[in-house]
Amino acid sequence: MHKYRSGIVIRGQYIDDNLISFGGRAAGIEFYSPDPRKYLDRLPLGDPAKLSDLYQMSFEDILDYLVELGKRLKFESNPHLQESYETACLTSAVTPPLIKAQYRSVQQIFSRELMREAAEQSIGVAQLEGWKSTPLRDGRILNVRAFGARALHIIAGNSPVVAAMTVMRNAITRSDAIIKSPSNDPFTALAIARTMVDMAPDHPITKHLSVAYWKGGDEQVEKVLYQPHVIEKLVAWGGLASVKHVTKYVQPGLELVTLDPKRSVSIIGPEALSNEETQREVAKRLASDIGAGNQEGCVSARVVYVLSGTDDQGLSKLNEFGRRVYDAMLVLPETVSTKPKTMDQELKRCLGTARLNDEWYNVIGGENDEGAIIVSQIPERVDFASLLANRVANLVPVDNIKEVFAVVDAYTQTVGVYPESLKKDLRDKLPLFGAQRLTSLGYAGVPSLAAPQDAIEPLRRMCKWIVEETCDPSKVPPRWETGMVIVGGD
Amino acid sequence: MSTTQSAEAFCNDFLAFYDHSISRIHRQPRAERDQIQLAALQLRFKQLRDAIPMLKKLADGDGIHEINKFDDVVPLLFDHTMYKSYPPSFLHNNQFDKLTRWLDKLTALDLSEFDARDCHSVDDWLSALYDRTPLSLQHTSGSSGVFSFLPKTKAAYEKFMAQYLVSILQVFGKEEKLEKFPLNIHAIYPYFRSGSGHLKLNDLYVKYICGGEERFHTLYPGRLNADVLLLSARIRAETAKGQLDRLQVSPDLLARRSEFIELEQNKEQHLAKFFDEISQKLKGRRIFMQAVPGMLYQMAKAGLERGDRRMFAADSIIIGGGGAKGTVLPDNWDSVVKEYTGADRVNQLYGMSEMLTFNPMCEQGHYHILPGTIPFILDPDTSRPLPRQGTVTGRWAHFDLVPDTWWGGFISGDEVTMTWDTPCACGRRTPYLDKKIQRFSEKRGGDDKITCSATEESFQEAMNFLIGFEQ
Repeated sequence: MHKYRSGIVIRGQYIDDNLISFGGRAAGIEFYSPDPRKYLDRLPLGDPAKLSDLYQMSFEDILDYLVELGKRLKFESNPHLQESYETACLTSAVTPPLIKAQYRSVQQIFSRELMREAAEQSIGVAQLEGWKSTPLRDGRILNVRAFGARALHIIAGNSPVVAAMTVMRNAITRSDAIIKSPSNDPFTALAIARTMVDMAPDHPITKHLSVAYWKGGDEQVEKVLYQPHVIEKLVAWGGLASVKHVTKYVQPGLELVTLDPKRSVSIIGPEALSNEETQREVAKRLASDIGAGNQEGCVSARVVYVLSGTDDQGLSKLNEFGRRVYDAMLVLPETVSTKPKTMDQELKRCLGTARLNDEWYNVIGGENDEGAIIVSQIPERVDFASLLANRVANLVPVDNIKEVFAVVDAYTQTVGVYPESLKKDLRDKLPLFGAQRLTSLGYAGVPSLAAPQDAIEPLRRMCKWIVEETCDPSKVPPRWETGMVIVGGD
Repeated sequence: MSTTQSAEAFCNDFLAFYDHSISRIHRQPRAERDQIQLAALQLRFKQLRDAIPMLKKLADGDGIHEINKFDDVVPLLFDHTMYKSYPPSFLHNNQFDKLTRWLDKLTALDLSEFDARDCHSVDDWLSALYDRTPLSLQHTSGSSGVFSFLPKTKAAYEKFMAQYLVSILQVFGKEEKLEKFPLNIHAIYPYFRSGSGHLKLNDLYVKYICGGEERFHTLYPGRLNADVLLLSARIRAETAKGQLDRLQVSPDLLARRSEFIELEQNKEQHLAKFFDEISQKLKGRRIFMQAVPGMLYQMAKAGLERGDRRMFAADSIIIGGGGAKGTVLPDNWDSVVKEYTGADRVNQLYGMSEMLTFNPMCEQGHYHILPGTIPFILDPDTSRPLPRQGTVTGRWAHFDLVPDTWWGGFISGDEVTMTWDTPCACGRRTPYLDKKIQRFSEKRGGDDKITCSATEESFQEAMNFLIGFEQ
């Protein structure tokens, strides 16, 4: 059993006293972390007026801090991230080369221009810095500013990038964050927080971050922290299991923002199969959408609808294409995709059974747990599609575009599409059936920080949108004269 | 008798092989049992390897041409997903010609001439197969919205009944005269009279236990058909996928809505009538009742609430088998059942649809495995066989030696603890399972196959859905 000594960070201070034992999600790791119950009085910000120090800084000042932090989050020179990486190798579902690639991308979040773009696209820097003024029809002057909030973040542990994004978003919105680390990655958020403490322990941004670990559902901790007088926003990643015990705390004054795990798919038009060269190109893109990160992310493609047609000729082309996708997946760079760490045994059994039913399913690969491409020979996905993982995807032939809507549902997040013209044809209708993000095939795994996520705009949701309005009675018909509530209409 | 002749006799009728004596069965030394079972396994392999297309494909793929020891057959055991490995659209779109084609790959029978054109529902198909082929197809309902189909035969079912005379009615250690069929005793079944799946057993009970329809007493006289159960399974599946609004319900089922509404509204009356009938007609008599423990318990509880206690004769045959999946059963459920029925004991069985023999519990609370089944305990993750000695915990798998037209090799979803060679305090020398049996899917928080024990829940769900269905 590997034992790790961990700590917590509370507002500029690293603490590693009062350690108690926690078991990591994977067997074989045990870590010691300070008992959060002993720090319940210190974790909350307390008086919301304490957020005012963040308003002494300009947006550029905030970016300066984050850029400096980014420099120190270079994996090769950051001992905290390296320690986090070591434990991730034990607990993570993916292999060390992929984990290392993930840790290297932490630094890339803190690019000045990418952060500025994210802020500009979703809120507008001007509205973070000051009041956006608009004269309204009813004569009033409306001023709106995006203020920060006191928040608690229950973050996902399947990539260190999540912790980095949370710290960045918290700083940009001038918010205060308590981050609850997930059991499958109790170290990354802490590593980033420790780096901030090392760098500038008294800086306002450092002082508006706490990182701690407690077991999800620990009522003694949660009923103290998840209260409107402590936090205004609860940002929860992760599945139903993690959100289920949180919903009972939601009440007026405490808003829940959820970023749910979902599944992703691809849709491919007949042009992709037209000739060998195009097939290779498209196969490479699809292989990336399936294999990147070893198919562990929400964004990873699992079921793929191909408008190949279900006649013999169409199936023949699709089977050929399936083989190309499989081959392309196996030669993806090591930083993108590797042979999976383990193979889910139930999936393996289902794959074996599908292989025997070769009249209806052509199973390519999968004999060595390296991943597989299942090509349905009928216009239907495999019965066990909800189990697809470990680089196993299902290509399904369909005859016409109306059938592709069946590939998306309420749980669909990303849809990689080829070619561009097909994406344009689908973009107005597909979201009605499900689907939140349509992208060019091959780009499913690289969403932009500047775009909406899971059909919401997290940066906007993290803010409090405050109104300051001026109503001059000579311009805005007053209620005491008109008796009307809504004025300014036609 | 030569080994081959012994193996043939054993495969043909293993109960007769032991002179229909439960004591002889359980007293046989291990080495002897292993020897005859291996010979029987080799015979079944020889008979069926090339006769069942799916098995042939598997055996050819693995290059397996002979069995020299028990573990040699493990790579050829069918995973439980095998029996529902057809494309779901075949079932959902009533394409029974294609479904028959798939089924044909799992049986040594030849179904190529079977004409499915007049089958418009699952029940139609099941009935047509029953009427026109040797099959008595069994199904179990599944959580992914499809059925598993087991190509059992009428002949095999008849054989199945013989074990009651030996495994249930005989007392281990006592040399008794073998009772004869029909037993001519009343039987109670607190659910539907007819239907598919395990409800088919009711016809056998009427024939062998009751000796006449008038001695079979059910809660509902009618039929629980497969299509209703399938609808329920699909509701769950489509709900899980967030696509419930896209579920198409067949007009036939919709037409039966009023029937279901009536049944639902009159449920209390049916229950009252049922209890009145059995307490008046059957009080003090020896009765037979076999159901899943949950059903027995619910009935006993309801009966006791009415004030009915110790209703039937002490030598009544009460059998609880099939597991308690999905229902919460108190630890003392069998005492409650005994209190209501007045029976001396409640027979508990370990069995499954995929195994023709069931394995009753002994006085020590252990399930002893009858020699018609070769047990395997597999590593739950890798499916490799664990040692056939000592006490091991793992995944239950078996080779059922009784079937001659389908493959008896099967890997279950159950976690069991098996003791191979330490004698049980009850005196039986057969290997035995611990009382505690769990489904791996429950352990891991998942929702695996719904077997007959959740049928009532399924039916209720389907009824609720149909009744609330907006056209």
